[in-house]
Amino acid sequence: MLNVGDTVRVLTPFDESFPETYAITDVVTNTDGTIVYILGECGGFDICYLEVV
Amino acid sequence: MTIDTRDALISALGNQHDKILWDKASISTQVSGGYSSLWRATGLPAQGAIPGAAAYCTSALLGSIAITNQTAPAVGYIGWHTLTTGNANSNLEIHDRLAHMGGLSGAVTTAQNVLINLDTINAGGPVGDSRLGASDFSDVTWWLEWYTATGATASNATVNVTFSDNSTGNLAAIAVGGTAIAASRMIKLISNHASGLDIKGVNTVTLSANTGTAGSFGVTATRQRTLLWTGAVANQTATFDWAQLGMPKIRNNSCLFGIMLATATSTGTVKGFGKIIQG
Repeated sequence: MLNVGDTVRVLTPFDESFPETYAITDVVTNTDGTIVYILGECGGFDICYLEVV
Repeated sequence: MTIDTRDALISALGNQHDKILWDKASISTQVSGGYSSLWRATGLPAQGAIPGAAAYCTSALLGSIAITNQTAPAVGYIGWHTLTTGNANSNLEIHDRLAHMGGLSGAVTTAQNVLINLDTINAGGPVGDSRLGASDFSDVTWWLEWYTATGATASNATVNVTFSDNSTGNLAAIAVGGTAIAASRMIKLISNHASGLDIKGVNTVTLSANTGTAGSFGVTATRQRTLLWTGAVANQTATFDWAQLGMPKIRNNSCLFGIMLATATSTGTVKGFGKIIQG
Protein backbone atom coordinates (compact mmCIF):
# COMPACT_ATOMS: atom_id res chain seq x y z
CA MET A 1 0.00 0.00 0.00
CA LEU A 2 1.42 3.34 -1.06
CA ASN A 3 0.52 6.76 0.29
CA VAL A 4 -0.01 10.27 -0.95
CA GLY A 5 3.35 11.98 -1.03
CA ASP A 6 5.38 8.84 -1.74
CA THR A 7 7.88 9.23 -4.58
CA VAL A 8 7.77 6.47 -7.18
CA ARG A 9 9.21 5.50 -10.52
CA VAL A 10 7.03 4.02 -13.23
CA LEU A 11 7.78 0.52 -14.50
CA THR A 12 7.68 -1.13 -17.94
CA PRO A 13 5.90 -0.63 -20.32
CA PHE A 14 4.92 2.83 -19.10
CA ASP A 15 8.44 3.96 -18.19
CA GLU A 16 9.06 5.02 -21.80
CA SER A 17 6.35 7.65 -21.55
CA PHE A 18 6.92 8.44 -17.87
CA PRO A 19 10.71 8.23 -17.37
CA GLU A 20 11.11 10.37 -14.25
CA THR A 21 10.16 9.99 -10.61
CA TYR A 22 6.78 11.26 -9.49
CA ALA A 23 4.90 11.98 -6.28
CA ILE A 24 1.62 10.25 -5.57
CA THR A 25 -1.00 13.01 -5.42
CA ASP A 26 -4.13 10.94 -4.78
CA VAL A 27 -5.29 7.41 -4.06
CA VAL A 28 -8.54 6.23 -5.65
CA THR A 29 -10.43 3.06 -4.75
CA ASN A 30 -12.68 1.66 -7.48
CA THR A 31 -16.04 0.11 -6.60
CA ASP A 32 -14.50 -3.34 -7.10
CA GLY A 33 -11.87 -2.57 -4.47
CA THR A 34 -8.93 -2.05 -6.83
CA ILE A 35 -6.66 0.81 -5.83
CA VAL A 36 -5.28 3.33 -8.30
CA TYR A 37 -2.45 5.72 -7.50
CA ILE A 38 -2.65 9.11 -9.18
CA LEU A 39 0.61 10.74 -10.21
CA GLY A 40 -0.68 14.26 -10.79
CA GLU A 41 -1.22 14.98 -14.46
CA CYS A 42 0.39 11.67 -15.43
CA GLY A 43 -2.76 9.82 -14.57
CA GLY A 44 -3.46 6.64 -12.66
CA PHE A 45 -1.31 3.57 -12.11
CA ASP A 46 -1.82 0.18 -10.54
CA ILE A 47 0.76 -0.69 -7.87
CA CYS A 48 2.22 -3.32 -10.19
CA TYR A 49 3.56 -0.51 -12.42
CA LEU A 50 5.09 1.54 -9.59
CA GLU A 51 8.24 1.23 -7.50
CA VAL A 52 8.98 3.37 -4.48
CA VAL A 53 12.28 5.24 -4.72
CA MET B 1 -15.64 3.06 -70.27
CA THR B 2 -12.59 4.21 -68.26
CA ILE B 3 -13.40 7.44 -66.46
CA ASP B 4 -10.61 9.67 -67.76
CA THR B 5 -12.66 12.30 -69.62
CA ARG B 6 -15.49 14.63 -68.65
CA ASP B 7 -17.78 12.76 -71.04
CA ALA B 8 -17.00 9.48 -69.29
CA LEU B 9 -17.55 11.13 -65.91
CA ILE B 10 -20.94 12.52 -66.96
CA SER B 11 -21.97 9.19 -68.42
CA ALA B 12 -21.02 7.34 -65.24
CA LEU B 13 -22.82 9.85 -63.02
CA GLY B 14 -25.97 9.31 -65.02
CA ASN B 15 -25.78 5.68 -65.98
CA GLN B 16 -23.22 3.58 -64.09
CA HIS B 17 -23.10 3.94 -60.31
CA ASP B 18 -23.92 2.47 -56.92
CA LYS B 19 -25.74 4.69 -54.49
CA ILE B 20 -24.63 5.63 -50.98
CA LEU B 21 -27.40 6.34 -48.46
CA TRP B 22 -26.83 7.85 -45.02
CA ASP B 23 -29.57 8.29 -42.42
CA LYS B 24 -27.83 7.96 -39.09
CA ALA B 25 -29.20 8.80 -35.66
CA SER B 26 -27.27 11.13 -33.42
CA ILE B 27 -24.80 9.65 -30.92
CA SER B 28 -24.65 11.40 -27.56
CA THR B 29 -21.93 11.76 -24.95
CA GLN B 30 -19.23 12.64 -27.46
CA VAL B 31 -16.49 15.23 -27.09
CA SER B 32 -16.22 18.36 -29.20
CA GLY B 33 -12.92 18.13 -31.03
CA GLY B 34 -12.79 14.35 -30.67
CA TYR B 35 -13.47 11.68 -33.28
CA SER B 36 -16.71 9.70 -33.31
CA SER B 37 -17.33 6.46 -35.16
CA LEU B 38 -20.68 6.01 -36.90
CA TRP B 39 -20.15 2.21 -37.04
CA ARG B 40 -22.55 1.67 -34.16
CA ALA B 41 -24.96 4.50 -35.03
CA THR B 42 -28.45 3.24 -35.83
CA GLY B 43 -30.16 3.90 -39.15
CA LEU B 44 -28.63 3.60 -42.62
CA PRO B 45 -26.21 1.97 -43.17
CA ALA B 46 -27.39 -0.54 -40.55
CA GLN B 47 -25.75 -0.55 -37.15
CA GLY B 48 -22.54 -2.55 -37.31
CA ALA B 49 -21.85 -5.31 -34.79
CA ILE B 50 -19.35 -4.94 -31.96
CA PRO B 51 -16.35 -6.94 -33.16
CA GLY B 52 -14.75 -9.74 -31.20
CA ALA B 53 -11.40 -11.22 -32.22
CA ALA B 54 -9.35 -9.51 -34.91
CA ALA B 55 -11.14 -9.68 -38.24
CA TYR B 56 -10.77 -8.49 -41.82
CA CYS B 57 -13.54 -6.09 -42.82
CA THR B 58 -15.32 -6.19 -46.18
CA SER B 59 -18.44 -4.74 -47.74
CA ALA B 60 -20.28 -7.90 -46.65
CA LEU B 61 -20.25 -6.73 -43.03
CA LEU B 62 -23.45 -5.33 -41.56
CA GLY B 63 -22.71 -1.64 -41.10
CA SER B 64 -20.85 -1.24 -44.38
CA ILE B 65 -22.21 0.65 -47.36
CA ALA B 66 -23.10 -1.88 -50.06
CA ILE B 67 -20.94 -1.70 -53.19
CA THR B 68 -20.72 -3.69 -56.41
CA ASN B 69 -17.30 -5.17 -57.09
CA GLN B 70 -15.89 -4.21 -60.46
CA THR B 71 -13.94 -6.26 -63.00
CA ALA B 72 -10.55 -4.73 -63.74
CA PRO B 73 -9.69 -2.33 -65.25
CA ALA B 74 -13.01 -0.81 -64.10
CA VAL B 75 -12.99 0.64 -60.59
CA GLY B 76 -15.41 2.64 -58.44
CA TYR B 77 -15.00 6.27 -57.42
CA ILE B 78 -17.05 8.48 -55.14
CA GLY B 79 -18.23 10.94 -57.76
CA TRP B 80 -20.97 12.97 -56.10
CA HIS B 81 -22.39 13.35 -52.60
CA THR B 82 -24.77 15.41 -50.47
CA LEU B 83 -24.60 15.89 -46.70
CA THR B 84 -27.18 17.18 -44.21
CA THR B 85 -26.25 17.23 -40.53
CA GLY B 86 -28.30 17.90 -37.44
CA ASN B 87 -25.43 19.94 -35.99
CA ALA B 88 -24.13 22.96 -37.84
CA ASN B 89 -20.48 23.10 -38.92
CA SER B 90 -20.16 19.32 -39.01
CA ASN B 91 -18.05 17.02 -41.12
CA LEU B 92 -18.21 13.43 -42.30
CA GLU B 93 -15.12 11.44 -43.22
CA ILE B 94 -15.77 8.33 -45.29
CA HIS B 95 -13.28 5.62 -44.40
CA ASP B 96 -12.61 2.11 -45.64
CA ARG B 97 -12.64 -0.05 -42.51
CA LEU B 98 -9.81 -2.50 -43.15
CA ALA B 99 -9.70 -4.50 -39.92
CA HIS B 100 -11.05 -4.35 -36.39
CA MET B 101 -11.29 -6.09 -33.06
CA GLY B 102 -13.14 -5.42 -29.82
CA GLY B 103 -13.65 -6.74 -26.32
CA LEU B 104 -10.70 -5.01 -24.67
CA SER B 105 -11.53 -4.32 -21.03
CA GLY B 106 -11.11 -1.05 -19.20
CA ALA B 107 -10.69 -2.99 -15.98
CA VAL B 108 -7.70 -5.18 -16.92
CA THR B 109 -4.13 -4.07 -16.23
CA THR B 110 -2.25 -6.89 -17.95
CA ALA B 111 -1.38 -6.85 -21.65
CA GLN B 112 -4.48 -7.56 -23.73
CA ASN B 113 -4.10 -9.14 -27.16
CA VAL B 114 -5.17 -7.21 -30.24
CA LEU B 115 -3.31 -9.27 -32.88
CA ILE B 116 -4.14 -7.25 -35.99
CA ASN B 117 -1.44 -7.44 -38.68
CA LEU B 118 -2.42 -6.08 -42.07
CA ASP B 119 0.00 -8.52 -43.76
CA THR B 120 -1.94 -11.55 -42.48
CA ILE B 121 -5.43 -10.37 -41.46
CA ASN B 122 -7.10 -11.52 -44.69
CA ALA B 123 -7.30 -15.29 -44.15
CA GLY B 124 -3.57 -15.43 -43.53
CA GLY B 125 -2.78 -13.02 -46.31
CA PRO B 126 -2.58 -9.26 -46.75
CA VAL B 127 -5.35 -6.71 -47.13
CA GLY B 128 -6.50 -7.23 -50.69
CA ASP B 129 -7.67 -5.40 -53.78
CA SER B 130 -5.37 -2.40 -53.35
CA ARG B 131 -7.43 -1.23 -50.38
CA LEU B 132 -4.26 -0.54 -48.44
CA GLY B 133 -3.06 2.29 -50.65
CA ALA B 134 0.68 2.88 -50.21
CA SER B 135 2.65 -0.32 -49.49
CA ASP B 136 4.46 1.35 -46.56
CA PHE B 137 1.14 1.59 -44.65
CA SER B 138 1.27 5.38 -44.71
CA ASP B 139 -2.34 5.55 -45.92
CA VAL B 140 -3.61 3.55 -42.93
CA THR B 141 -5.01 5.23 -39.83
CA TRP B 142 -5.14 3.27 -36.58
CA TRP B 143 -7.63 3.94 -33.83
CA LEU B 144 -8.75 2.91 -30.40
CA GLU B 145 -12.53 2.63 -30.79
CA TRP B 146 -15.02 2.40 -27.93
CA TYR B 147 -18.11 0.15 -28.06
CA THR B 148 -19.34 0.52 -24.46
CA ALA B 149 -18.10 3.09 -21.99
CA THR B 150 -15.11 2.44 -19.78
CA GLY B 151 -14.69 4.08 -16.39
CA ALA B 152 -13.64 7.49 -15.12
CA THR B 153 -10.65 6.45 -13.01
CA ALA B 154 -7.46 7.87 -14.50
CA SER B 155 -5.50 5.38 -16.58
CA ASN B 156 -3.08 5.30 -19.51
CA ALA B 157 -2.91 2.88 -22.43
CA THR B 158 0.37 1.66 -23.84
CA VAL B 159 -0.13 0.21 -27.31
CA ASN B 160 2.49 -2.20 -28.65
CA VAL B 161 2.70 -2.13 -32.44
CA THR B 162 4.55 -3.64 -35.38
CA PHE B 163 6.04 -1.05 -37.70
CA SER B 164 6.32 -1.40 -41.46
CA ASP B 165 9.87 -2.81 -41.16
CA ASN B 166 8.55 -5.53 -38.81
CA SER B 167 10.22 -4.01 -35.76
CA THR B 168 8.00 -3.62 -32.71
CA GLY B 169 7.66 -0.91 -30.12
CA ASN B 170 5.33 0.94 -27.77
CA LEU B 171 3.50 4.08 -28.78
CA ALA B 172 3.43 7.06 -26.42
CA ALA B 173 0.98 6.49 -23.58
CA ILE B 174 -2.60 7.58 -24.24
CA ALA B 175 -4.85 8.84 -21.45
CA VAL B 176 -7.95 6.65 -21.40
CA GLY B 177 -9.35 7.53 -17.99
CA GLY B 178 -9.86 10.61 -15.89
CA THR B 179 -13.24 10.89 -17.54
CA ALA B 180 -15.33 8.00 -18.83
CA ILE B 181 -14.88 7.42 -22.55
CA ALA B 182 -18.28 6.79 -24.12
CA ALA B 183 -19.30 4.37 -26.83
CA SER B 184 -18.39 5.46 -30.39
CA ARG B 185 -15.46 7.62 -29.27
CA MET B 186 -12.26 7.09 -31.23
CA ILE B 187 -8.67 8.01 -30.39
CA LYS B 188 -6.12 8.06 -33.18
CA LEU B 189 -2.88 6.08 -32.72
CA ILE B 190 0.19 7.98 -33.89
CA SER B 191 3.43 6.27 -34.86
CA ASN B 192 6.42 7.38 -32.83
CA HIS B 193 9.03 5.44 -34.79
CA ALA B 194 12.37 7.23 -34.76
CA SER B 195 12.61 6.98 -38.57
CA GLY B 196 9.01 7.92 -39.21
CA LEU B 197 7.87 4.42 -40.16
CA ASP B 198 4.16 3.72 -40.14
CA ILE B 199 2.24 1.00 -38.34
CA LYS B 200 1.34 -2.28 -40.01
CA GLY B 201 -0.05 -4.06 -36.97
CA VAL B 202 -1.18 -3.65 -33.37
CA ASN B 203 -0.13 -6.40 -30.99
CA THR B 204 -1.33 -5.56 -27.46
CA VAL B 205 -2.88 -2.83 -25.34
CA THR B 206 -1.89 -2.47 -21.67
CA LEU B 207 -3.68 -0.19 -19.22
CA SER B 208 -1.76 1.35 -16.33
CA ALA B 209 -4.80 1.13 -14.05
CA ASN B 210 -8.35 -0.18 -13.83
CA THR B 211 -10.64 2.61 -15.09
CA GLY B 212 -13.36 1.29 -12.79
CA THR B 213 -15.60 -0.08 -15.55
CA ALA B 214 -14.78 -2.89 -17.95
CA GLY B 215 -16.75 -1.52 -20.88
CA SER B 216 -15.53 -2.64 -24.29
CA PHE B 217 -13.09 -1.04 -26.66
CA GLY B 218 -10.88 -2.22 -29.47
CA VAL B 219 -8.53 -1.35 -32.30
CA THR B 220 -9.61 -0.39 -35.82
CA ALA B 221 -7.54 0.18 -38.96
CA THR B 222 -8.99 2.43 -41.65
CA ARG B 223 -8.04 4.25 -44.82
CA GLN B 224 -9.71 7.62 -45.29
CA ARG B 225 -11.32 8.08 -48.70
CA THR B 226 -12.90 11.52 -48.58
CA LEU B 227 -14.26 14.32 -46.40
CA LEU B 228 -17.55 16.24 -46.55
CA TRP B 229 -18.69 19.15 -44.40
CA THR B 230 -21.71 21.33 -43.65
CA GLY B 231 -21.95 25.04 -42.90
CA ALA B 232 -23.30 27.29 -40.22
CA VAL B 233 -26.97 26.27 -40.51
CA ALA B 234 -28.12 22.94 -39.13
CA ASN B 235 -30.07 20.62 -41.44
CA GLN B 236 -29.05 22.57 -44.53
CA THR B 237 -27.83 20.34 -47.35
CA ALA B 238 -24.35 20.71 -48.82
CA THR B 239 -23.49 19.19 -52.21
CA PHE B 240 -20.07 17.96 -53.33
CA ASP B 241 -18.95 17.19 -56.88
CA TRP B 242 -16.18 14.87 -58.05
CA ALA B 243 -13.48 17.53 -57.75
CA GLN B 244 -14.42 18.51 -54.20
CA LEU B 245 -14.48 14.86 -53.18
CA GLY B 246 -11.11 14.17 -54.79
CA MET B 247 -12.72 11.32 -56.71
CA PRO B 248 -11.27 8.62 -54.41
CA LYS B 249 -11.07 5.09 -55.78
CA ILE B 250 -13.35 2.65 -53.99
CA ARG B 251 -11.66 -0.73 -54.30
CA ASN B 252 -13.49 -4.04 -54.41
CA ASN B 253 -14.77 -5.27 -51.04
CA SER B 254 -14.24 -1.87 -49.36
CA CYS B 255 -16.07 -1.60 -46.04
CA LEU B 256 -17.16 2.04 -46.16
CA PHE B 257 -18.35 3.71 -42.97
CA GLY B 258 -18.39 7.17 -41.43
CA ILE B 259 -16.21 8.95 -38.88
CA MET B 260 -16.97 12.45 -37.62
CA LEU B 261 -14.74 15.00 -35.93
CA ALA B 262 -17.36 16.07 -33.40
CA THR B 263 -18.12 19.76 -33.09
CA ALA B 264 -20.53 19.28 -30.19
CA THR B 265 -21.20 16.74 -27.45
CA SER B 266 -23.26 14.71 -29.88
CA THR B 267 -22.63 13.78 -33.51
CA GLY B 268 -26.02 15.07 -34.62
CA THR B 269 -28.07 13.26 -37.22
CA VAL B 270 -26.35 12.49 -40.52
CA LYS B 271 -28.24 12.28 -43.80
CA GLY B 272 -26.82 12.10 -47.28
CA PHE B 273 -26.91 10.57 -50.72
CA GLY B 274 -23.93 9.76 -52.92
CA LYS B 275 -22.87 8.00 -56.10
CA ILE B 276 -20.04 5.51 -56.50
CA ILE B 277 -19.44 5.84 -60.22
CA GLN B 278 -17.89 2.91 -62.08
CA GLY B 279 -15.60 2.73 -65.05
